[in-house]
Amino acid sequence: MKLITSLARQSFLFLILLGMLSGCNLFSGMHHDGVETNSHVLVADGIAALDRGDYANAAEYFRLAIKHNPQDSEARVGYAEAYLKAHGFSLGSFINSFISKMEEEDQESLELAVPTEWGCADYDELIQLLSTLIDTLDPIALGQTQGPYRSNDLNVNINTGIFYILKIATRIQTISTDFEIKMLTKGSTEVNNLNPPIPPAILAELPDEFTWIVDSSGNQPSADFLTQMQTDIDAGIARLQTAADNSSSQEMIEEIIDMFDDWQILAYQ
Amino acid sequence: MPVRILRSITVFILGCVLGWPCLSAASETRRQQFILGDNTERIFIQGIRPMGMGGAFTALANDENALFYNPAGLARIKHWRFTFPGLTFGTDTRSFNNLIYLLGNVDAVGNFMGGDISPELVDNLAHTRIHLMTQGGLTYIEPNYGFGTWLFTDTLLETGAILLPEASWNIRLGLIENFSFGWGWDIPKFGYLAGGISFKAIQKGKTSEEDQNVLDLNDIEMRMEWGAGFDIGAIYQPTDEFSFALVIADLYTRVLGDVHVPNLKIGFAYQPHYLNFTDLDATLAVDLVELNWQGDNEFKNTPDNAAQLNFSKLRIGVEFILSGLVALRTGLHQGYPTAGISLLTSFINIDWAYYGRELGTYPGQNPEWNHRLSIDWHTGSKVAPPTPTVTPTMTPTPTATALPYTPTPTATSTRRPTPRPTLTGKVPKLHGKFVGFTGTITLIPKLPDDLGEVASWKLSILDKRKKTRIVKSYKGQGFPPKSFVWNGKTRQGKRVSSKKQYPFNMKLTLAAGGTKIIAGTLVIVDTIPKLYTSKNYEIYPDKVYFSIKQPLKNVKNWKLDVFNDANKLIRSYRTQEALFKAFAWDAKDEDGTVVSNNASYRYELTITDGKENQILISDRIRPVKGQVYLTENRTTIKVGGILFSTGKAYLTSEMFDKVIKNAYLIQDEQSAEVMINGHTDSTGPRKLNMRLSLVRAESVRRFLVDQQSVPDYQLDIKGWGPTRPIENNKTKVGRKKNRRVEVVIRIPQ
Repeated sequence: MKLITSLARQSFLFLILLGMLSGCNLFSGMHHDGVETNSHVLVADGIAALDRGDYANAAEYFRLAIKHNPQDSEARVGYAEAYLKAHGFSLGSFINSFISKMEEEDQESLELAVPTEWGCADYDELIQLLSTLIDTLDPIALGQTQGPYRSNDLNVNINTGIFYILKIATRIQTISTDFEIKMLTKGSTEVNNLNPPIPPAILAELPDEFTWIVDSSGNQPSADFLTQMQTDIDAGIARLQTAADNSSSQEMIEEIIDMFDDWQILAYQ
Repeated sequence: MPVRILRSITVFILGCVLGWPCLSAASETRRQQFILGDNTERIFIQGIRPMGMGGAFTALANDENALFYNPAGLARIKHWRFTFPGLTFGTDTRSFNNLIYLLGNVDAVGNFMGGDISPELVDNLAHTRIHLMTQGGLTYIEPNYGFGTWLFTDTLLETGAILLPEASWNIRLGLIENFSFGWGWDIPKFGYLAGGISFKAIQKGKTSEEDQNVLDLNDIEMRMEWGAGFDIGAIYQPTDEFSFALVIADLYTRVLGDVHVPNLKIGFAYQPHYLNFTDLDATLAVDLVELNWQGDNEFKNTPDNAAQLNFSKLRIGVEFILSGLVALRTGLHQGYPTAGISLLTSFINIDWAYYGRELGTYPGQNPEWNHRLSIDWHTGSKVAPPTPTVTPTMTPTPTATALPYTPTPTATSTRRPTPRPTLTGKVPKLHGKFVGFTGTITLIPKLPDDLGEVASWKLSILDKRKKTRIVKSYKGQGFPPKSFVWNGKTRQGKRVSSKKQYPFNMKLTLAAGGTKIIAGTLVIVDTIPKLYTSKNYEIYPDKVYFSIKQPLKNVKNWKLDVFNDANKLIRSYRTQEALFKAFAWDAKDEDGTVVSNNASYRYELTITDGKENQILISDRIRPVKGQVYLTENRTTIKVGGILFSTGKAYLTSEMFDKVIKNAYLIQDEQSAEVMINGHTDSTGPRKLNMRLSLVRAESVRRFLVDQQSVPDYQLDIKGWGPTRPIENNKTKVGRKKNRRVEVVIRIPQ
């Protein structure tokens, strides 16, 4: 009997040690990811999933958190990060693409920042992705949320601003891959052959040299398109300006703003 | 009130008082855990040994880690020890993998700095975490105090990205100092109590930012901080095996004017006795930490997670040390497994610890797996023992002599750094029976002086249950030998059992005609399997022998002190003998006077091993001069007054005291033969009463065996029914007195 008791005791001890070393948490049964209705819990689940590279689940947990508490800024930032990564976004490819376009002569090409490695089937899908990101982050920048991220948060504003710019650039591509921003001169044949032509009243307000969106055949985007584009440009630049105001690298951000500020001229279109 | 009940009540009240803050406990949020390294806001050095044990060390606290885990532990330290330095390196698995990745892509990193972007490298760096810590410390500890200083660096870099990456970092470089003191007291009938206090200070340079965008990385500033504070701790040992601890860390601690919330910790440790004087040491430790009764801005629960977080405050650990050379540890830290291995030498220790900790908000949500490697050089020594007072005297080991008593296996041992006389045992009485070891049993017959010439003799040893069966016999012509040695085996080759009694008789055929028979019962003293119970001694004319049946390993030294009835030390022996088997006291005091026959004396025998573990056997003895002889004379003690209700056979609380008194008597007289007689009154059928009386006797026997640890084999029962009334059954009072159990104890003289 003593032998049996001793063996049982040793086996029990061994099993406990085995359990302790098996890598599972003693309390793991008390919590299940993504099943809570409390946004704090869902955000914590999302962060944990993000840390282990489970982006699809992370995005889902953050989405649920936003659903339960739309004012949770931490959930929105987490959702943006997870959602982007879940769609195969590669920052390295993006930077490479950006730099290579910048090194080309036509630095202001609207193709410059549109990454082709984002895993989207077409530009419409990409625009949808960018719109989702903007819709997620914009409430933070507009001061409609609560939590650790405030409306003047550098990280939120600079990323939202860039998403706006990327969305504009991508929308251009939906019309024609041939569209680009060109520097035109008043009275030139190129200006005179634009389709539709620039209204004389607007042309009169333009400087001698101005930027304009045209394709190789001299076609311009529609007025509705340009109106929507202008709205996005204004919002994007506003976010970047907020970021610049709250950054120690103000000059660097303002250079980016200047680059896209030239696009303001498109309002005349 | 019995002492054990007093102790239980004390422990219970202690638990209740200390347990309630758990209900309102505060905790760390994910944000704090994200940014906190180990040598961070609190003035605290995590020990690699405690972390291998899940972080449970509060009640153990028996090395340098006591400086931060519980200064009261210094009261129990017996050595001085200087560590110079202890170097520790730590990181977590994810950080380690990231470092390996970077080392494997050194070229890509170089190209990145030169503007050639590797998409894979950028993607990996955009979401990464690197946490590194290094630590070098000098510590000195001695009984009752210790101090140390540590130089540390702690770097945590973490990046995350929506699109443009943001980074968090926490870089610290600093010094921590600690001065600690601990004192301990033995409180009679209560236990051992120790208290301690730590004074600590920190000076550090710190740069810390959270969620900083890469565009702002040029804005890094180093800030200088300093702080100081103190901890207090206590340890209570109701018995040698169990320790309870209470620590309030950061009772008053400020760092740059910010007051820390006190960190209340309670701990428990168990160090089993049965491993003493073996090559294995084992410890079980449990801590509850962060039982704060208030929160501050950084450590607060949300209502929904408080209950779960309270569980994550649990620390559990076990430690096994093999031959003092290798330590293996495992445990649970915040519910995550931990492990530790140490190579322990006299000059260098190499330690590794692995432990999980929770980065998430909820237990089991987001584990971080940490590694620590430590190398320390150290020197130290034992505390010098008191100067010997008497020259040691050693005598040959009496390994095969008749031992005229039955030892009482009730002594316990001390396995604590600080020796204290907590062990008590029953006084073994001398009695006239054969007693022997498991090995050989030496039998010494006592024959009458006027026996005359003996023609032949025969000694038969019988089986008690089958009294006619002879398990061993000796016979011979002429006068029997003064002694003869039995190998302890029956004729069938089976070893005799210590759980049985063996009646014996020696038949002497006289030359002048006629026979003489000497009879009695032989009690076999088996080898007691557990060392801490292996207490026995032998008493012979003018010599008192103390012996250990089973050689103890790693004995470093031992000492023997003998006190008289007035508790005055009358004789003391100390020696550095490496092996203690037996020792003879010449039964004299320091003046050379032989001690009084039949007077009572108390001895304390303390045996110490190389790891400072000790067995302390303290007992009262009554030396008897002269040989101890076989005899048939006995003393009979009849104890009555155990009265039952009509038709009942169970013991009530009122009866316990009387039965317990019997138990003490029986325990004191291990050779006693005990008969428990059950009786009834005359009411009811005779057959039923016969059975009832037997059940009453059995209930007393079960109580003695189960509750009072009286050996079963000593007890016989018999049910007499109504056949032996002591009062008139016609009266109510008489019937009441007849419903009784009597315990008859026969003690050989």
